[in-house]
Amino acid sequence: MTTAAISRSDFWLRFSHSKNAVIGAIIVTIVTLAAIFAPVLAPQDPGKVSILFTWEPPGDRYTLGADALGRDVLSRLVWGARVSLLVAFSVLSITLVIGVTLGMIAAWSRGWPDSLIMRTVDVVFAFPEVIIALLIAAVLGPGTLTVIVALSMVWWPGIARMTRSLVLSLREELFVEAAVACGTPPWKIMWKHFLPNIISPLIVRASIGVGFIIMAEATLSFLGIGVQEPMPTWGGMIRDGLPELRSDPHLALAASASLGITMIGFNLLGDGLRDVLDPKGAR
Amino acid sequence: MTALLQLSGVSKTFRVGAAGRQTDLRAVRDVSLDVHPGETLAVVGESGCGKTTLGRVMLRLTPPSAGTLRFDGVDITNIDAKARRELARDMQIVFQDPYSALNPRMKVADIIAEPLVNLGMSRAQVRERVARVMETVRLPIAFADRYPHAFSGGQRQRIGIARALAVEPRLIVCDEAVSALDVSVQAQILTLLKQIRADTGVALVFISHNLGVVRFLAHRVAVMYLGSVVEVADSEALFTAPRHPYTAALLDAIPEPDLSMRGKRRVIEGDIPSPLDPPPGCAFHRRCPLAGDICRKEPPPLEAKAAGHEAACHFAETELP
Repeated sequence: MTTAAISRSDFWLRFSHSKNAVIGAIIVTIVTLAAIFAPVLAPQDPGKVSILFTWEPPGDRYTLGADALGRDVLSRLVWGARVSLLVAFSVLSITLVIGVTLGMIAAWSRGWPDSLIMRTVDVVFAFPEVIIALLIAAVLGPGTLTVIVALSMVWWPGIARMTRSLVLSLREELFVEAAVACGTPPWKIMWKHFLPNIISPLIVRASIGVGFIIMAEATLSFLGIGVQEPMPTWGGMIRDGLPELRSDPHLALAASASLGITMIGFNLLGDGLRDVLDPKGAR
Repeated sequence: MTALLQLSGVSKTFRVGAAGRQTDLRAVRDVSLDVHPGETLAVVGESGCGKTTLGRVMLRLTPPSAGTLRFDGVDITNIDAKARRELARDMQIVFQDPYSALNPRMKVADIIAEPLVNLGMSRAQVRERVARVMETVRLPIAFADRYPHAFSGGQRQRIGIARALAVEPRLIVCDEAVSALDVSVQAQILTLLKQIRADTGVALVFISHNLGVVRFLAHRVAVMYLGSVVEVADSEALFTAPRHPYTAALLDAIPEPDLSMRGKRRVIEGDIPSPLDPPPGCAFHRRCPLAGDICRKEPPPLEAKAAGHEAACHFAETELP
């Protein structure tokens, strides 16, 4: 089960030989840089309304055209990346902490805490994520925080379940028994023996997860219970552009394409990382 | 001389099988053994006879189902998790499989330091102690910053021994500590253990199925069969004059390049019975050349047959055929 630790130079060599990983990394880097440097990169203020240029097609003034309120689509895309990544990384951090902690506790205890945690996971899995998000939006009201809370609620069970199964096989290893024998307390066994040995599959999972979280965020924003105006979001842009799909397809397509490419980027990176980090699992 | 570790009437039972149809697997049955300070006690037996479980019970890695366990006169049968962690100061273990026993993501120095850090030693003390035990097990100090995958089985076992030695324990349980290694490496590790024992006075419980190895190292030997101890004696007495027919058969199974022995070996027939369904009376009677009626009905008690020589056999006085 445990793979030998890969040395750092080895990692980069294998990484650079994985086409998936490299293409994914390039896309992810571009999106991330766009998000970080949105204020510098965006040609215009994404919120600036201009009635003179409503539904302006792509051209010199607006590289990707303007929307129904005459706002620059490219600027809104760049700022939208910011929102998407902010939500994705918040959700990812929260769910990794919760999911990994609970998963390890479940696997280690194997008693009633295990049953409690895993049955809760089953219950959460039983509901579609949109239903949970709607429920939370009803309580908290729509907004960025709602999206983060809702997606965290939906996302931690998968990580908890994966962590539990990884730790269950790991705890049979003798070095865990050796740690118990030499008096290592449980929290330290989790931190020093379990975590370093499950980090690779978790990284892969997290990388693929970012793509899906961005997608889910766009879905919620599309439904109007996500990030609110005036903050530009890809989901919101798709929603706003949909009625004009025939006359002005650039509105919805620009945001859809950004969403699609970003998802592909994170998925390729995740697949590539799996090949690099876990050679046994590759093809 | 008071015993360092004293087991009296220790049993370990596992519940096995699907819910509703569970049966008891008695892995260790009513074992009473003493380990004296500085002594090497070997526990031998076939695969599945419960010797590894006995080792785990000795270290209180798992609580016994019955019986009492005393370390240095203190009852440790039912201690809590915190008290168990404190025991690590005095008792350590070396495992059979040196590949699984070392965390692949930790550096050698951190592996050896783990028990020391648990004791709350300062960083300087830890570093000093790690360097010392690495020297004891003859690992170059340059290896300290490497990961386990860079090492051979023998080197890994040295790392495992170093980890066990680091806290300067009074008892180390070696669970088949050399059986996964090549013969030449086995010899190195055994010599190393012998030297460590001479230098530190640590008591060893050496669990093994390899009688040649046991004879080399042990002061006393306990033979296990189906979870019970069937014979305990000083190494010399056990190897030259075994009292239990099972021990005699085991000794005959040691491969020896001696043609005159050809055809004279006593070979035990059949397999070790299932611990789920132990035979009545003496557990060994179905495979025993001496077995009589009493053996099918009454389990023989482990009793002294000579000074310091105990055996559990109704016919222990009988000359073996």
